[in-house]
Formats: sequence, C-alpha cells, structure tokens
Amino acid sequence: MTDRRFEACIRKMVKGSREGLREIYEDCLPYIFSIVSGIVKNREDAEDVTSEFFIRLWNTAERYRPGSGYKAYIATIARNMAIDHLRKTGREIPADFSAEESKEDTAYRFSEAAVRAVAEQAESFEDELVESLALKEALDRLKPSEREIINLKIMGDLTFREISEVLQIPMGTVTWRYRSAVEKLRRFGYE
Amino acid sequence: MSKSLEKEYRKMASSDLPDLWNRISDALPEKKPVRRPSFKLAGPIAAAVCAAILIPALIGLGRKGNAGGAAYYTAEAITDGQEYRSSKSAQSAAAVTEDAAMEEAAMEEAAMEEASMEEAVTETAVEDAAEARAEAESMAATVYYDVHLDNPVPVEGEENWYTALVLEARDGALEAGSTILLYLDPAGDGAEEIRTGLAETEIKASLQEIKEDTGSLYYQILSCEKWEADE
Repeated sequence: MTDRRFEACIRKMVKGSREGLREIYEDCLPYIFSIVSGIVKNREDAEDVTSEFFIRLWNTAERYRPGSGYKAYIATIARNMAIDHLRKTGREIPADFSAEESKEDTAYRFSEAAVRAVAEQAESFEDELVESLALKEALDRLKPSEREIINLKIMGDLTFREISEVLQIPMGTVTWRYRSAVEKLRRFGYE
Repeated sequence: MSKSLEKEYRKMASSDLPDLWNRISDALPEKKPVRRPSFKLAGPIAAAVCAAILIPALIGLGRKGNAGGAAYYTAEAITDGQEYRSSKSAQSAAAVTEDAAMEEAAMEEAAMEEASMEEAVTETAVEDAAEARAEAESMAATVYYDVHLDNPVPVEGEENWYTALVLEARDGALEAGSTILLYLDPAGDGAEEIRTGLAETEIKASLQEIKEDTGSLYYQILSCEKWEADE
C-alpha cells in the first residue's frame, strides 16, 4: 500500500466508512501483527493489542497527518501499544526494547578490535552453515532488538533513519544491530 | 545454497495470521461528524456575548442614574422641609417637630419603596444577564477554531493544557504569531490520544508531524485564550 492509498483510506474512515479501515487491515495486518507479537510474545495478547491498534486507528483517523510515511507512523503506534500492554499487565519489558543504547552495543560500536573479531567469527561460522535450519529457528538466535530491526526493515520497508525514529535510538545503533543480525542470519544461509 | 531472507520472512509473517476483522468491526464506534466552526452560530454567539457584557453595564449606569435622581429628590425634600420648618417658626416647636417628623417619615417610606422596587428590577436584570452569560459561555464552549499550530507543549502540572504557537488562523479568532494556551477537549478522539498519554515517544512523533505539516492543520480546540509569557 502506498502512502497515497493509505491517506485515501484514512479519508474514507474520517467520513465514517469502514471500508477504509478494512483495506488498511488487510494490507497491514502481517506488518502490525509481527511488530506486536515480537514484543508481547504471547499470541493471545498479540491478537488483543493488534485489534486495539486497528480500533484506535479508526478512532484517531482525524489526527493523521500525511507526509511523513505511514509505515513508520503505524509502527510507532503499534510498538507503543505493545509496550504499554506489557506495562499494564505487569510483565517485564525486555531491556532490548529500551530506547537507550545498551552498553554492549556501545562497546562494540567503538571497538575496532571487536568489529574484526565479529568478522572473523562470522567467517568461521559460515563453515558451519546449517541449511536445514528454518527461518524461525534462525531468528531465534537474534536478540529481540535485532529481530525488531529486521522486521521493520523487511515488513515495513523502512529506512535506517525511520527505524531509528520509531525505536528512538541512534541511527548508528540501528545499522550496527542490523548488520549484526544479517551476519547471524547469513550463517544459516539467508541472504 | 542461499535463501532469500526477505522473501521467506514475508512468507512467514503472512502465514498463520489471526482473523481479527469481526472482532475489530464489532468494537468500532460510529463516527461522529466533525464539528466545524459554524458561521451561522457566530452572529447569535456574538449577540449573546455582547448582551452578557452590555446588559450589566447598562444596568450599572441605570443604577447610578437612579441613585443620583433619588439623592436629588431627597435633598430637595429635605430643603423643602427645612423651608417649611422655617416658615412655621412661629408655631409651637412641638407642632413643627411633629409635622416635620411626619413628612420625613413619609419621604423615607417613599424612598424605601423606590429603593426596593429598584432592587427588584436590578435583581431580575442581573439574573437575566447571568443567564445570558451562561448561555453565551455554553455556546462559546462548543465553538471550534481552525488553526495551524506549531509544536504544542504540555503545560507542566496542568492536564490537558498546552501552549502552542499559532502559525495560521483562518477564522480570525486567533492571531498568527501569537502563543496561545489551549485546552484540548478530553472528549474528542484526537485529544484522547494525547490525554491518555500513551508513550512519550508517540507524543514526540505527533509533535514532529505537526511541525512538518505544511498544510493547514485542523485542530479541535474547546476553549482558548492568549497566553502571556510573563504569567
């Protein structure tokens, strides 16, 4: 769905037509559900939050401002709703989802030695490629924050800048985590 | 053998999706029509506001006028009484005193009657004015302005209140370039979004959108007033 199409759907929603929401729902459900379930984990909760997301989109359609890319906009809302859900239900918010750059990331980012070490490690892992490993299993090897970036990149087709805005973390951290995730997935045969 | 991450990821994310549409559809509230500023209402509202301001002012003037009249009348009566008293100076002091006392009592009674009538009229007028003012206020409370705002900032410790710079005001209700204090309607859907807060990041995102918006931004404002920076 293009930004223009999304805006047209929003206009329909503002006029009270549910068709606009239906179109967005059909197009964006995989994207939203993947964002939400990546955070809340529990499928039932993910379904609840995803439903609430679309209801909220309906209720706040009048406030949508076109021009800044709807995918980043809806990702921000869905993500915040999922995190709020964790807070409300008293579940722990994984540290990885915090806006602050982890110490580990910072240390790695600024250490050339560490970068070289990762590259060497990656080469050695390529030899141990496990082709039969399903994508889901490969994704399980990623940190939640890395998985989130991969999801936004692939499902939302967001730029690194947009991802950094959605996640409220520096762009350098985003690119670092993305590269790290891609490296890990490459070991399992994914390019 | 390399596998396409993107293709397989999309395939995986699109499989085993829940069907939530019925559930969502059942929970959707009916959309209320967006209230736009009504120019039809502008006249009656202005009239009501003027009435609310002018009626008490006119009554105040009227009261001053009447009070002046009453004072003149009383002074005249007293002067007459004195003249009367002096003209009857030959008569007995007791009789003069009695007559003067009777006359004064009659004058006092008349003045009191007048005052109570005036008070009654004033009370009714004040009640009417208060009613008109309340009506005007309630009408004014439903007026929405079309304004283009920049970066509304929540007022610390004041829920639902924000300050914002007016970039454009089409209705002439506000001045472009002025900073206003605005109260976002807690009942409105949009305000709900900010009011319930959600995460801070989302508010930031909203502000960003407002800032980047080049078009005219329709903002629902329940009431607004100019914000003095010194206050």
